[in-house]
Amino acid sequence: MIEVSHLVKTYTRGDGTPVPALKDISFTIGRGEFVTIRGASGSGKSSLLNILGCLDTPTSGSYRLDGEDVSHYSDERRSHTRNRKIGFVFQSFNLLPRTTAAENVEIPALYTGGAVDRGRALAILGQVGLGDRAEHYVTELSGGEQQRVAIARALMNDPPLLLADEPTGNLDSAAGESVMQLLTDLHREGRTIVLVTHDEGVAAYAEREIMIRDGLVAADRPQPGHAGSGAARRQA
Amino acid sequence: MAVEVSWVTWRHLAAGGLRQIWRFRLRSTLVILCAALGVAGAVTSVNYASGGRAQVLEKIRRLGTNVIVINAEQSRAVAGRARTGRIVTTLQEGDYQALRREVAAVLRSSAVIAASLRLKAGFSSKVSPVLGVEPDFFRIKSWPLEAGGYFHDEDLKRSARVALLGHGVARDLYGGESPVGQRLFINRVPFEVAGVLAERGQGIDATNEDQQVLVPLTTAMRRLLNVDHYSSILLELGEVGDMARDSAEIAELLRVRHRIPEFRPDDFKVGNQAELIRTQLAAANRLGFLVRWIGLSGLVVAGLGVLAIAWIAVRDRTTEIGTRRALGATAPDVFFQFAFEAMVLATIGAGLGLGLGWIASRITAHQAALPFIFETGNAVLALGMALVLNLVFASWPALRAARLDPIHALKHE
Repeated sequence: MIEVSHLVKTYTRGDGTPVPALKDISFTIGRGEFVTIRGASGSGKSSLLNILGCLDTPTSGSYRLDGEDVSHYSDERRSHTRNRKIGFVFQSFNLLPRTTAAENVEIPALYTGGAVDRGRALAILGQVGLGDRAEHYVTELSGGEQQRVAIARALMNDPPLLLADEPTGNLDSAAGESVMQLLTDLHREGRTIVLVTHDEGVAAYAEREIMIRDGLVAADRPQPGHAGSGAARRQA
Repeated sequence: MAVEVSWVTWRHLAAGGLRQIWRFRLRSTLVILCAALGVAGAVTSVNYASGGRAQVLEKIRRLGTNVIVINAEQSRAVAGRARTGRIVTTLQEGDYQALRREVAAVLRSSAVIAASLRLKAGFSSKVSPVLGVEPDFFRIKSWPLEAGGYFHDEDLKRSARVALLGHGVARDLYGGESPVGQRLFINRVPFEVAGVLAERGQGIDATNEDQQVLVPLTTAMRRLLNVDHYSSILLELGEVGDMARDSAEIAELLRVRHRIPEFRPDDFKVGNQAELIRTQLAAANRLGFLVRWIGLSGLVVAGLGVLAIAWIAVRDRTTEIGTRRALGATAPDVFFQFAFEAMVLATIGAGLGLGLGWIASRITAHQAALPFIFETGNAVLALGMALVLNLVFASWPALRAARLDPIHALKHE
């Protein structure tokens, strides 16, 4: 599903000095895995997230997503890749204000170049438990509900990869737990989920954890609580 | 890189854009107002100038270019400056007859004697210019009647005490009543009002013709003023020849008749309307030119307003742009969305401005007593320029939106 090898990202500061963010990152994530990428701020996990999300290109190394080498795609092709292959879930939900839940869920479909299927948007909202809130403006929803609308939006184009960036960072613990439960359910249905966080508690929901430190993979290990369980179910 | 454009996507974005316009009503209203005021201002000012020009042309039509006016006046140098105003009595019947005899092209003519006299009708009283004229005067001036009738040659023969009132005099002295057949005292001499002349407004020589009272020439000279000279002579030439040559000929004739030695100034002034008209037309055209530039700068200012609001919108919606980019919008998609929203508003505004401009043109024309002119060509030009300017000005923020780095846009708070 995801194959990164020897990924390097170097930024150039205003005065010309290079700042290495990712030094040499390699890992593989299989279809149906639920993986957290954990690291302190400044560890390089945001840079990694941007590259995994096709928002940025690596300085060197390669990134294969769903069988395609996307490392040097143009801006336009990366836009199309994001649209079809990646579902984004953000820390602060990033729902459009003054817009209803259903309209927010439809946004990825706008950019496919095809018809917008309102029925599908409503069905996904039902799936995340918000079937009765479809016509509500997002400002009328609680934080947990907003994040669930955002997850529904990420699922709209049925992307192979769900990429979540601190999805519980702006939620209280109860709402955060329900969002994590939803992600766990989606994983159980067979979706590939990559979750970026600094929070160990959140990481515990996943079956595998990749630790990033100083632009390098510091550890890549199965989560004790989930060790083998997801994989075992898949293989069974 | 070839930019692929999906029309289906853009149709969706256009529909979404219309919803956005409605949701951000205040901002949308501001853009519409901005664009509307620009077009309305440009249209109104251009129409105002056109109205002014049309009025000059109308004055010219009324008092044709083929009229020569000879005024009796003495220019004297007093303390180095030319002064006029002393009553000159040298323009007399002999001169008038000689002019009619010698100037071949004369078609119509009228001698004029003018004085300011006290009018009295019932309890109303006022001082007004009273002109003694011949019947042809009205035809030379193309001055129709509003009520009653003109006076005729027999009235001049009998020195009849009949008067024609300017529109303003009739209103001031008789209010709403019809003055025709009523009694009017001019310097205590009783007259009968024969008619009221049509409203004229200001003449090309800046006199208010509506405040004049016109009586037969002989009546004015014998019964009112007891004089044997004229204030001026109007000559209408049959065909438009060389006005300057005719004027020079007339001046020479009068100098000889008045025995004015060389190096002494004339005791008359020969004016032809053509010169006055040229000056006024030039002024009207200069105003038109100026007003077009003012209108254009109004459009630019309005366009800058559209730009400013669109710019603020892009800044306010940076997170939205980042989100849309993350969800798959290409840079051209983002450009289209913002340019489309701004253009819809600017177009609505410009159309509204056209309507506003029409109303404002009517109002200004009415208040300035100018003819109402709505120049369709100019209005369409203003509309077109507004749309082009707004497209340019709205494209800039839209381009900025399209070029935002999605990573930075997403981090924007």
